[in-house]
Amino acid sequence: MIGFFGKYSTSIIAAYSVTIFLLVICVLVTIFNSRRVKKLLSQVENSSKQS
Amino acid sequence: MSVWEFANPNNFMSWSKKLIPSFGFLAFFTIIIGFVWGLFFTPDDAVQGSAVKILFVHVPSAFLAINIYLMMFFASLIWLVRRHHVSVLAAKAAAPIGIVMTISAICTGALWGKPMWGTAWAWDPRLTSFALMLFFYFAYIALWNAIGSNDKAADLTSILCLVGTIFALLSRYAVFFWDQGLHQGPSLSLDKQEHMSDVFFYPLILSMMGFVLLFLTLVLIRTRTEVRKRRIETILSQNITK
Repeated sequence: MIGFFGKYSTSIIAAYSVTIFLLVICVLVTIFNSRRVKKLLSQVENSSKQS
Repeated sequence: MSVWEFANPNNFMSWSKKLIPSFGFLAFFTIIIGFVWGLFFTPDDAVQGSAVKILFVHVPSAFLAINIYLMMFFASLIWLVRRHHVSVLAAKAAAPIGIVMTISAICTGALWGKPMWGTAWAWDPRLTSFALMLFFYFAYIALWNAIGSNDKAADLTSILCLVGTIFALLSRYAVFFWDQGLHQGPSLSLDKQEHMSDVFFYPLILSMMGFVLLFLTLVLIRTRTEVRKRRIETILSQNITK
């Protein structure tokens, strides 16, 4: 892989790694947070109906 | 049906739910194809050599970093003029994605600049306005978290967003009127003489489309989360008053 990209291979691999890492973290945090709040809302709605 | 009815929270939750899966699916495959095409199926540039492959991650990140801020500007303006809650929640939801894109653009730009310019950073007009835009993104989120009242926070963050727009516009247009900068002109141009070769243009456009679709997916999910948070607050405040 490193030979394939020539003398700038380190910069190229680092640039793609940083971007993919940031995108994956952003997607995971968004999905995790969305599920947490959705669950919390259903709990609050249920407890509100019961009371 | 008025266009503003789409911004009604119930209507928004209904139509956004239908769009998210297809946007997410398209974003995933477009980004994969754009990256693979850009990395493995493009030739080396005559001047930049293989470092040109960094543009397929740097340009979409920078494009979104600026345009997310402009989207926040319009959403904030809609809040200030028409008081549509979903618009200001969409701006709030977009800010963290804007930070991710700005950091990605700065990091990939530095990784490209080091071998090409001989330096990873320069106090060039475009780079400096980009860094200031990043501070405005952070300030925007910090202000939201610092104020307890939702409407007051929305008002103040919207005004802050309008002020910061000058740096988003500077990031976009500085290369046109500040000649002394190190950063080169825009990568995409309607001028045929400045326009890049098609072998780089098509994978770049694909990569940019993927990033835009990913942003739309994430901003819809995050706005839905913000709407749900408001519902939780409303139910809890109603329970307290009972």
